[in-house]
Amino acid sequence: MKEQEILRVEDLKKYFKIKRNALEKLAPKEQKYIHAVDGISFTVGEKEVLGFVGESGCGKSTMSRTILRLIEPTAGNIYFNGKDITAMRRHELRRNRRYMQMIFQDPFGSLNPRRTVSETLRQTIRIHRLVNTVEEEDNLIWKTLEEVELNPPDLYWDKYPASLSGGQQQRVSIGRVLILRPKFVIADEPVSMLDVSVRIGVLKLLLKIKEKYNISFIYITHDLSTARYVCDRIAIMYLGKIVEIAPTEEILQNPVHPYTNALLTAVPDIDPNIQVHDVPIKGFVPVIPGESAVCRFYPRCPYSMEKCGEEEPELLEYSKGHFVACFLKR
Amino acid sequence: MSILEVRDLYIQYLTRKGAAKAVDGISFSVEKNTTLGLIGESGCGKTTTAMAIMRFIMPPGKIMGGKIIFEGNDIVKIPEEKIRNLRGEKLTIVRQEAQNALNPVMNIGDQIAEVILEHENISKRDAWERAKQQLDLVGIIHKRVKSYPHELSGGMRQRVMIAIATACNPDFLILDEPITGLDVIVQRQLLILINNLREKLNLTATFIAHDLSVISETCDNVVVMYAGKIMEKASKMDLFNNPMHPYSKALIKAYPSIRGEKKELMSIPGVPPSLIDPPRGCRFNPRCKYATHICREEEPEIREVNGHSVACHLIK
Repeated sequence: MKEQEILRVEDLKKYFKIKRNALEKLAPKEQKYIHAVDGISFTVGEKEVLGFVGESGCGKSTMSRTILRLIEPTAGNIYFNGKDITAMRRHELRRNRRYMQMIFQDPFGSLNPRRTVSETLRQTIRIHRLVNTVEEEDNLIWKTLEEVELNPPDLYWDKYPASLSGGQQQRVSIGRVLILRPKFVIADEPVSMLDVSVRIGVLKLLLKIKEKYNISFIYITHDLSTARYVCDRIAIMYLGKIVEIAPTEEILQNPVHPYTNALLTAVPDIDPNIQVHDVPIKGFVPVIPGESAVCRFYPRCPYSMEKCGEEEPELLEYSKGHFVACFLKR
Repeated sequence: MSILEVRDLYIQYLTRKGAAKAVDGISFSVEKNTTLGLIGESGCGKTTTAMAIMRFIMPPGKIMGGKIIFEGNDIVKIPEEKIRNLRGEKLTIVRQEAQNALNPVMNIGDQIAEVILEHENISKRDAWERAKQQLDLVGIIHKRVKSYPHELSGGMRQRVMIAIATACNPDFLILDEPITGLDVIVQRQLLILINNLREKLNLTATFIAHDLSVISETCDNVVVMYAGKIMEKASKMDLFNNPMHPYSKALIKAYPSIRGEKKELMSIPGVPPSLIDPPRGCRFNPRCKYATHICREEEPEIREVNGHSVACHLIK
């Protein structure tokens, strides 16, 4: 198992400083932090798709940016292919970035509007010095466009992002990542801005290139139904922590944590014969707290016990491969 | 009895490349105390239809023909003054992206009271009291009546929008993607609120969404739109249990569900057509895997088949 591991994250933390005004700075008042990501550990295997599901503000995007060191972690280690990314110097990190890529949510916002499709891909080739001659560049661009199913490539070669549909734009973004032959890709809500009818096409493309080029994925989303379709395992996040992690069908059929349960009940269903249920939890997601050694879900949990407000539950194995951080189900 | 009837409605947007036929001859009606769902991909004309019902179509958009009969009046023709009286009182809308629809420099109480004062002859104090009641109705404690939109979460802002839209006991409510972009638990809470209000206030409504599941949970009847045309109309049960049009079938097949067996999903190949120069024949034919010669040549008419109204040559 160990040698198949592509990514290992250990106790990753990212705290953001809360800004103080001048008076507060003068007063001997303590600097406060927001614990956006607060001690997350997991591994991603070769060709595995690990999904992170949670509501806005649960820290899933901060986590993904921290893993690629687009923002610096506060604490923790990230091993990519056995090497610790957090300890890498700048140039070394740059060399390795080629193999760790990211696909963003908004395809239009992440493509340069003044570059054509081929120029966008050519830039990536040049930055990473993938080939030597213009002819080789052209070949590579052509093949990549075919790979992401923008056929025939001629048709898209000189197009600007604005004249492509959302699904086509996202395919260009995927092509830009794929051209580097990455080992590991973080897809941050890659289909949430696309129409239902084209979503599946883009997800199928991700699964296809995963198989073909042995890419491991972290798939970040708030949508459990697309996560079910692409992920091998799903981790549920709440306020900077993983509350439950298990193989996809296991977590959908036998959710253990009350928060996972609430999320699953809330997902609307297409079957008109299903009776709608109210979610069993109340209130809103609070602002991520600072130091706290209690269960973070405790104030909203319908099953909370005394213990939940006193201690913090650890992420422990509930059944094989199924980990839960909850005192209730022990 | 139908409260709203849309008959042969045509709407175009004039662009430099020609007229985009955003809504191209659609007809439907909404019965009293029912909810009609409008579904389709982006750009199929759902929101344009809603805007036309409110008569919010502004240049370069233009209503080219057709009637929108609401309680005996043709909305397309009535004078501006009269439509102003209808809007907000009898005919209201909850717009997409409540965060941008609310006035950022006015507290929410004033924004709710404003509608009431505009349409009813009551004192400011009474209007303010009503605003508080409206907040209670949508599940916001009325102490927050003096809050500004930026102090509220996305879900709460959408609740305020619903409070404004229902303040004058409207006869007809349009909900245009009211839960899009919100978290799944907040979505569920809003859907429950909307369903409760429908019963409590005897609302007749039109629900616009691209998400089939939302329509499935809220509506009685469904209209499926594609490229400015209606493809299929049916009751919710008929449409989801037994879709007839290839496009409706494809939409349902493309929808991933978290319940039940994991099923194979199918995407719809291609992209929606240009509205300036739509394909000949059936608009869906370039993406339809069953398309035959006649589909490429002749436009199908809407016909009644087994309780569905469907526009497809292949359905006999």
